[in-house]
Amino acid sequence: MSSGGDGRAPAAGGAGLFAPSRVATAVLAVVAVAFAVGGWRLGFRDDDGPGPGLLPFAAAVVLAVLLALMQREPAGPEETPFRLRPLIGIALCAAYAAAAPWTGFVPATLVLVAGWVRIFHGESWLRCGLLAAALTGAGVLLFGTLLRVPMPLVPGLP
Amino acid sequence: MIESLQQIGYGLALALQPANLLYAFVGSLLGTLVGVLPGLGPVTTIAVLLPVTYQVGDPLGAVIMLASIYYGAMYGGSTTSILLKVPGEAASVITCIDGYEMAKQGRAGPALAIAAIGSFVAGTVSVVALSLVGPVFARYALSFGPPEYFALAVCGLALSATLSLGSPVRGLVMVAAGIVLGLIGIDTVSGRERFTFGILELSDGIEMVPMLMGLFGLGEILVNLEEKGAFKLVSDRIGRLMPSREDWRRSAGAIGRGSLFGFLIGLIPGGGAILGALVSYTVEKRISKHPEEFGRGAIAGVAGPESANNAAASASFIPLLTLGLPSNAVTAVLFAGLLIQNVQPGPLMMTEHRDVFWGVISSMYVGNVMLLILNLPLVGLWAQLLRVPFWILGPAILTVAIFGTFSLRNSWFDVGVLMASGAVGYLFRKASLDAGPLIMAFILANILDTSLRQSLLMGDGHPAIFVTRPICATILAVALAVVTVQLVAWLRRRPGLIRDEAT
Repeated sequence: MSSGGDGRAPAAGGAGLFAPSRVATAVLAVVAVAFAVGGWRLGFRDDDGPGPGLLPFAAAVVLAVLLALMQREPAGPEETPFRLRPLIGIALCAAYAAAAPWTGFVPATLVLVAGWVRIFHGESWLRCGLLAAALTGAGVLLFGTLLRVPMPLVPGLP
Repeated sequence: MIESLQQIGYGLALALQPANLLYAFVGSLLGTLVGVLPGLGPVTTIAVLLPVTYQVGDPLGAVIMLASIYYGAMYGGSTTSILLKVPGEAASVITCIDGYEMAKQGRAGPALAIAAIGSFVAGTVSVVALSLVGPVFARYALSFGPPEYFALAVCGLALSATLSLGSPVRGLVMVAAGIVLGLIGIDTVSGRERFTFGILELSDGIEMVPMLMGLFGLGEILVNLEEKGAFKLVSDRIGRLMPSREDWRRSAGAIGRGSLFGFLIGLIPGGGAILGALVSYTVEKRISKHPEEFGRGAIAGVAGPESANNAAASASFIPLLTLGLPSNAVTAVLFAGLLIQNVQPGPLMMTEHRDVFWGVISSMYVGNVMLLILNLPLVGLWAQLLRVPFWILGPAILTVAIFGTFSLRNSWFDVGVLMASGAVGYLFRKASLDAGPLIMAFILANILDTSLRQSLLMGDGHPAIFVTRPICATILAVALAVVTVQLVAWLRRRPGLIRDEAT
């Protein structure tokens, strides 16, 4: 992944607040703190020996130390800033995960695939619709019909 | 030796049953089909296809299919490396160097053929070695207690974190993160819930398959959204397939040496396949009478690394099947597949699941032959598949991942895990954090936890038990030495890197 004259921002180099390494470090730091606190609360010893909090606490502390060390490392040569398109993709996936339990598989998957192809690949609505119908149909046929997985396809149907 | 031969015969009888042959065929076909698609390596391919094997009722059939998918994906990966210069996995990077150059010179056919034949020879050699060495390992492992298992798990994770390409600190970060995430769920020792936040679905921990599909499959799709039309096919015309007599002469030794190095290095957890391929390439270049041809389309530069890569892949089954310890991301995914089928890999697998153990090993022989028969004549068709546009490919993988995830236990929560893991997978890729060590640690977390606590109980709460048992102490010393050496090298490199960055 190069950066430069193709309209992309320069490599993060660890400078920006939202550089991928910084964001990853922040996410993992939250995990480390949560597990260290949780491990502490679970306890390091039980009546009959080492407790359930021992390894989570130890691993969380090691994680925190390593994250601190990682901050002293320059960004990898392939590290580039976040781009908008994958972030939109993540938002679409999150919307799907939130909506599908209410709408069922068929409407949610049709909208996801059609929206995905339209937004990211600029295909015509006809192609978007056809691909969405084909993939949703294939999924239902393979998993629902052939492999007999009980799937909530549309609201009101089991 | 005779006993091993008898067991191989027993395994072959199982693998050659019509139903199992069908599973091997379908697995090889699906593995190649998905593995040949641009940007999809063996880990992603297996992760995406895992739910399909879940639906196969018979554990042996499912595991044979899984192993065949793996082999198929490996072969598919070579095709994309040679024709597109898109390595499906780190180990294929070496194949890209000379394979792509050969394709540019109109010699894609011999490059693909020698990759397939080299893989076949190396796969067969290493599976024979696996058949002979595996039982010895398993018998030896039966004498291991919790301290030895703890040491082996620590050693495996330390090596995988520090020997893979990239920074050892980043590898160790991923290992630590994998351990904490792998400890979510009910504690098997005390029965208490850990970090479930009252969510019922987390009682059994984070479901492994959606996490794998998210980190590798969906993460890959999201990364690919950044690049429009990133893949450039050299040519879908393969031309003459069979290598010339001169090609054979230059490749034969490379295949033999690659098979040997690959098998030996493949036993090392972590960087086995990539190290094997690298060593093979370096050796071939050094001993070649025409070293100047390397990097410009030398066929030995394809034959050696491809053979080493495949031999290492088979060798990595030894710690998985005999010790129950996955040694890289691919075997970690296979470990998940075995657990789904209620097969616990480890020293007892040979006795408790004798049919699966020997059936899988024997199916590797069968799978190797099947792939050779299937792939060489169909290589033109696979090349055509490289033309599938990404606007079809991405949504297709996404749909399979969603439906496949839901099919595991009819859970929308798992679909949420898939999506969240996809976002995390994208974040990790952007931050140059390799998800492989995280997955290994995630899978080994409970083994680590249980064996640590059992060991401390055995030692009356004193950690000295880890240094008073010779095997355990030796394994831990190896782990410590490797981590120390890698970290010291990293510390020495660091000032230079910072200066480079400043200039």
